Amino acid sequence: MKNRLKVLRAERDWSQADLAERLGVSRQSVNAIETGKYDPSLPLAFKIARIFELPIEQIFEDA
Amino acid sequence: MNSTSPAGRRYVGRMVPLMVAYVAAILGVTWLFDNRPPEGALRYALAVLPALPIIGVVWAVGLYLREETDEYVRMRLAETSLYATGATLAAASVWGFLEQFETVPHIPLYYAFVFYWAAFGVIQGLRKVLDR
Repeated sequence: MKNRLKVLRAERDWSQADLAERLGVSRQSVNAIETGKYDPSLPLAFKIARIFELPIEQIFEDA
Repeated sequence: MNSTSPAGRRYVGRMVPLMVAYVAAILGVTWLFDNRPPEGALRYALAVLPALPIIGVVWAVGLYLREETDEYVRMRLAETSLYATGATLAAASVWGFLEQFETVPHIPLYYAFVFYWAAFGVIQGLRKVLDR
């Protein structure tokens, strides 16, 4: 699944480790989601959306 | 496996005493059977002793899988574990038939456990490289 995590992260000047810490997951998880290798579960997707204060569909794209 | 997560630390905490118990059991039981071979039911009870910490390792891995809260780490571990299980079953079947038709020597069954973890390590390593 395509997503805008990398851009959103850059806008806030967060590293993958920073975002991982906010989410309570490992840095490798953030990397796997960001590169589209792993689609997060719904609870994790909601958590990501809340952290960036955006609706899920503005972060993830199912095209 | 993520040894820095709380679940990972609990896993390490369970593994250390299991490993110590395994080494103690294997040394103790080997010495006993070499020097004062037990008889009757005791023979069975003592012979199976080194297998108990190994069963404990399986239990510890299962608990880690349940307790790890990082869903991606958990999924990867479950997948790698399935690949390693498949590799072990395949290798055991191949070796079993080779043995049956007397082309290779007999290997004790407990080596399946060793093979499983070797396969696990190789697969996990390969995936790390491929995921880069």
